[in-house]
Amino acid sequence: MNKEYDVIIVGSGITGGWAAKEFCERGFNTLVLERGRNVEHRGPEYKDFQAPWELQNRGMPDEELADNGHYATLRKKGHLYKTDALHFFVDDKKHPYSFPKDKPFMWTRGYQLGGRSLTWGRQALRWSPMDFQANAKDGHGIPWPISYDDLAPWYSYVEKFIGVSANKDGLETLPDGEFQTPWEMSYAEQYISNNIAKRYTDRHLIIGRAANLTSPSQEQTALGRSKCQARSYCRRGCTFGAYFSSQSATLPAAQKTGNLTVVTDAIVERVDYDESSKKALGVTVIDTNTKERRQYKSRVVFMCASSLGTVQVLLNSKSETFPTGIANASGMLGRYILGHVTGVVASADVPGGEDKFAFGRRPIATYIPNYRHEKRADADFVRGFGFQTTAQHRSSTRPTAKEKGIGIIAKQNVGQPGPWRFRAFMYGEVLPYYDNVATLHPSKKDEWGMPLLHIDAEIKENERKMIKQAAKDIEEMLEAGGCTNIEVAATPQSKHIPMGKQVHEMGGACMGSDPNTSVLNGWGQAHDVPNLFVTDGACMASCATQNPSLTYMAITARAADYASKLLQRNII
Amino acid sequence: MEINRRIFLGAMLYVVSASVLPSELKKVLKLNVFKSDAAFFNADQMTLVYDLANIMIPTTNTPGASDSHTAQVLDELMVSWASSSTQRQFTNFLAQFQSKAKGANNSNYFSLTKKEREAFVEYVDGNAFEKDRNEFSTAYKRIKALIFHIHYSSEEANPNFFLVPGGYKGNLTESELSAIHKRKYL
Repeated sequence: MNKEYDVIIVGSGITGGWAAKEFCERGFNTLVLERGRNVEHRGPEYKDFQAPWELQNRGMPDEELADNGHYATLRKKGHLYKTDALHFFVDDKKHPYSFPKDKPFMWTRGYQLGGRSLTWGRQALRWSPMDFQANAKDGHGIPWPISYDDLAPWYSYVEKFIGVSANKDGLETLPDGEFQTPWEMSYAEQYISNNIAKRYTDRHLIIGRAANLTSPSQEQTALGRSKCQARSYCRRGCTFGAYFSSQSATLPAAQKTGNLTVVTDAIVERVDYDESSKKALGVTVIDTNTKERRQYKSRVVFMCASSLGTVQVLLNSKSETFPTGIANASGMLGRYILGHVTGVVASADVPGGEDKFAFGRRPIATYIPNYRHEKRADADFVRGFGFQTTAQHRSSTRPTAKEKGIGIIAKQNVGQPGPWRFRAFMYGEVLPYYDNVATLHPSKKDEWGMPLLHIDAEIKENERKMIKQAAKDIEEMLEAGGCTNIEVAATPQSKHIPMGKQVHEMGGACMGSDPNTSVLNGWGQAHDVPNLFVTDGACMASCATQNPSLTYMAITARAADYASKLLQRNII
Repeated sequence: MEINRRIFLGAMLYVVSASVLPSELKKVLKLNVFKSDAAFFNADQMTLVYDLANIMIPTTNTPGASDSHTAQVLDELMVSWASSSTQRQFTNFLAQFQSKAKGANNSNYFSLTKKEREAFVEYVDGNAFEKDRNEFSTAYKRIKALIFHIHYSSEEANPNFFLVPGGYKGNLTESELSAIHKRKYL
């Protein structure tokens, strides 16, 4: 096999797929390295055509897995621990990581071709200009070296390709993009949305922005993708190719060019550095099966291995020039680990609608975008939060074995239509904290000899104050929305809230203008190593409140365009 | 242990209804007696599990646990899903259940009339959720949870489930919804 390429991309997930497409379409000989196994699009690992009664063990993972300590993180998350898609998530017993005992971190991973693009939430939200300005304005973290305007054309570029079904809401806090037909709100969601609009000018309940096709473009159809069928089995893989993933879109587009090579089962151990040219030479990989090491060379290396995966590889890439990890002259590599926090869950009945029903399983929730930002009058914290919400179906009495009752009467009580019930989950921004840090464990290694990543990160006072305010706000909004039987549960101030629970881990190799305080410049290019780029979540200098994948993709496409121009001009 | 090491055999199974009891007595008892051992449970245990499931979720104008083959699926799950501790817990429970039934009724559970059996299971159910916090009640609650899960995730219990709905509508009248159910696609 050829071992020299123009570009090596580490990781095949949501950003790796994008980097592959962009470089391949520009004519570069491109290698994608994936540490996990190959997963064939529409192959046997997709379980989207299995009815509930056809799932292995009716959806329940083998009890011995839990008894033997497998999937500890996923089991804590509950809803993902099912046989429909368990094989798309990492068992942390097989792939351990480390954290301080008093600060458990929940790292959800997907080691397979396509990575977590197979299981992502598909909420495709732009950041606002305010989100990029936040660090500079309130002094937390490293100021972003790019603005919304830098990224806006790339947001459009990405949205057109992936397909985002959404409404043009005209909100400053959540800029509109290139949208396909939006999903419909339910009776109850529309009811609350209308009422909230009557009370507030700055708070909005909108339909989510889903990377699920509702009106496929010619380009999407040509890739074999078709309209979403509202099954909401996305995380099982989609035979229709209706939601965006590396498998359904970017990798086939890259493959079409003839410039793509994909190697799976290859763990990147390190980025190799050439002391004389002061550039990355390529990478050393460990074969997952044979554990043999081999090298690949390239003119450019793109790190797209997921935020913490990338940080782990970079920290492990030690050399004379970079004894603490490649591109770490600043000492900032591994710092400012970010993520979203939820500490408030609310639910309420929506009056009326007894004669209204819903059909189908909409693949996206509704959303209340962050309305706080710089509004401090009634707040003792900075930044803000939004809410992921839903009332897509009218509730009905569910069978419950958790209380007394059997026989005919208990059976008759099942499936009776109930009120429309609305649910809201807070999504808050965790500030960039210098001491939220990922390092290599000094002694523990995995079975391939890679030092374990040790993640020492926690939420702090600002986030606790946010949770208090979010509980007040959602109660007020649900009242304004016309709801009754409002229940708000806020995580007690004394209870530990693990970082990583919302999956959106970010940071660790932040962008910034100053090479002394950041790892990357505004192009995702390492300050210290000009042919090394990081464009996954590790590059983020703050995390805002929006789901981050669309921003990662836009950053990646923009960086690939920039790197391509440098390659064409032989600058790198 | 890898979860895919076992092949799930939850397809349609059949009840072996035996004639170990005189037919007149069977009519009174309304008991399906298994004469062969199943994949995990022995014939007696299987008879009991089948009866428990049917008492918990009887057939009415909608399918019950016997229609959804809940007991047979549970038997298969004991092999493909249950850990050895769950296997032990359930077999112990079934033995204790028989013993408690005999203690309470002065008669073997299988000899009780259907009404008597229903009354005993209701008694156990009430105690499990209201009074007892012991191993027996814990096991009962787990078996009940599994029986409910199996039945209510079955094809028979979900006649309006659509694998491919074709779209989403959130503001339908009952007649519009019925029309969609009839044509089986949005």
